[in-house]
Amino acid sequence: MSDTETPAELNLSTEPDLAHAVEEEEEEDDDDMEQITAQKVLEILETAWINETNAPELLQHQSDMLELMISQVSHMEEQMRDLDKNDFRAVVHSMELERIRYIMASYLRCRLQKIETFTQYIINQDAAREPDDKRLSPEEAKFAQELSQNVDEYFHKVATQYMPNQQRGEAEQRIITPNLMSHVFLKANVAVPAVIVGVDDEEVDLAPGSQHIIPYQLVADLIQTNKAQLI
Amino acid sequence: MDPTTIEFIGEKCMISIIPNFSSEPLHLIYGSVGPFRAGFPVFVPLWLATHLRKQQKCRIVPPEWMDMDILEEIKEEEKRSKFFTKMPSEHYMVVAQLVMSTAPDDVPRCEELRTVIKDIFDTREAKLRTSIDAFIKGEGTYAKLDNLTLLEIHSVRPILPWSLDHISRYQRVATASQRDTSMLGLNTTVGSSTVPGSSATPASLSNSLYTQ
Amino acid sequence: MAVNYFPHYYSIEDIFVTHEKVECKVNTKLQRMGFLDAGSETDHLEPGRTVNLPLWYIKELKVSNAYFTVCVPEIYKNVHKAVCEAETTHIELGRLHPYFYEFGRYLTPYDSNHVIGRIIFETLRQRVRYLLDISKNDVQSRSSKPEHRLDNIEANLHVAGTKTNTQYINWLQMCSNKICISQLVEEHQKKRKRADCSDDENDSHPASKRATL
Repeated sequence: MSDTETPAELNLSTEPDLAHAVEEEEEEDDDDMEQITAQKVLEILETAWINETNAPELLQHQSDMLELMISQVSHMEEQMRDLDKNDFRAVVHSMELERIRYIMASYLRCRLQKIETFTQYIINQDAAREPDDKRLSPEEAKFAQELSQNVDEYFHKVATQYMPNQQRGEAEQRIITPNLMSHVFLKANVAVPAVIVGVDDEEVDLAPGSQHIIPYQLVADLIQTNKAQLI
Repeated sequence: MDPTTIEFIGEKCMISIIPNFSSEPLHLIYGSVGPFRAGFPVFVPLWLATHLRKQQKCRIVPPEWMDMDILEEIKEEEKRSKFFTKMPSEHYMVVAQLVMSTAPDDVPRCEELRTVIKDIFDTREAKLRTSIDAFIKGEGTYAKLDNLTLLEIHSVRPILPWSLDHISRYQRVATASQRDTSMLGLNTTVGSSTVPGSSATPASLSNSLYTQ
Repeated sequence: MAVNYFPHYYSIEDIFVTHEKVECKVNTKLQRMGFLDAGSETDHLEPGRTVNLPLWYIKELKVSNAYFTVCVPEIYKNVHKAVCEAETTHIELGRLHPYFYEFGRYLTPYDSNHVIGRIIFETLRQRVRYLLDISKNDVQSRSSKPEHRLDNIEANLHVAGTKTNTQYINWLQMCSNKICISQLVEEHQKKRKRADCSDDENDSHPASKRATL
């Protein structure tokens, strides 16, 4: 068998590789970033994916984690190139990579759908945020800006330029906003005391692992801080 | 989240298999599995187990709870209890469905087990509907759903959260209109007090209604 | 990503709702507005007359405007009793008004007795169980759409509910693990097929001809 030695090579012990990748990309970054394992990155991305698909608004982007995972995936593919395609290990590795790619694609697609629907709202919200708190990644921000401009230009060309000024409608009025009071399913990751759960300021303590259905806005900060996650 | 997505998430569950081949450990991104030694049980993710089973490379060891006595017990407990009991696996339906459809021969009394598991699911689903009814009649927009599994939640999604969205939207309008009697005709932002973050324009009535 | 109905500027449903006519009483003489009233004998709109005005116009006026008073539609008064007795499930809501809830929501501020807001809220609250039940029992393919029984909001919920149920049943039968052709691709294939068929009209193939119809 030609690939008898490959197991050693395929020892894609993900930790050192990834740490290496991080060092290369963000040399000036602090130590705890370097410690992160590929497994942890995947967990973070999975949570981000599920949160994103269930949240009515756009959540914080995960460019760093995505970048790490993408380089990890291509690194894996690189190593697999030497393996026989029908090798049991090659099949399993590529199955896993397909699963990871699905999560990343589904996650990004979900974000794009939100950006396309709530374009102006998201742009406005992000404009008021500090650079570190921006929800849009630089690429998404560019996409959102261009989309918004194109749509405006299109409307102007086909319709609004032929309308008298006062009938064009206020730009403010045309913004599509998500319903932040949408009900979501939530699971607490840690104990969270005194969460307001109703309009009349009723409070409930969330036990770790407990599950709830609740308007999104009342728990948005818990999701942001990872004290709870959407399910 | 449709059942296929829930299945995808549930496929991460670890399950024991007995491989009929030997191999070094596999260092997956998700974590390492193996080493595989022919005839010795090893834990792998469910997606890998079903794949290997389809390739005739292993036998699946059904999880302990896939047992008539245990499941009958769970079923009775579920019927007795007012609340949702804790299931032996967070994805019991997905695990059962995948194991029983890919490897029915590996599961003793497979058909009977299938029926009991379906019974448990149906009991829980019916309970969920009854509790939803009580909860909505009680004017709440918040409820605790401990021990419900994803697939059970799916059975009322999106219809339950969507209904609640509309109900609370109309509730806000109704209370706002009552509150605003003294200010009839003023440009009050109807109901937006409960929706901070909605466009806080000096809105006309129509504008503010858009935020509902 | 399926999203629940939430009215916004471009929402076609919202445009339909605001297109609905509302009966209004004229409060002051409105010069040269007689055209609004088909039965008017003068050029002007006289106080005391009633006219039907579209909601999109009315909703831009203040509730206490000097010109029109909005008359609360009878339909809401009619369900009041049923709501009080918690007997709303048998009401054929779609027949009463296709946009029962949303129309009511717009009219709520104009109702000085504050019943409409309460009525739409209570009606939906009482009918959710019924919606859950019929969604559970109807399967998507069966065309038992209870259109006349449901208002637009409810119909959307019903569609979503039956879809959930169908997905679940398909999953149980393991029908869902086949990857389907996306709708876009399917349409494209159909189009190409149609184009192919019209190309070779001469060698009339009965099967392909039927496909073009």
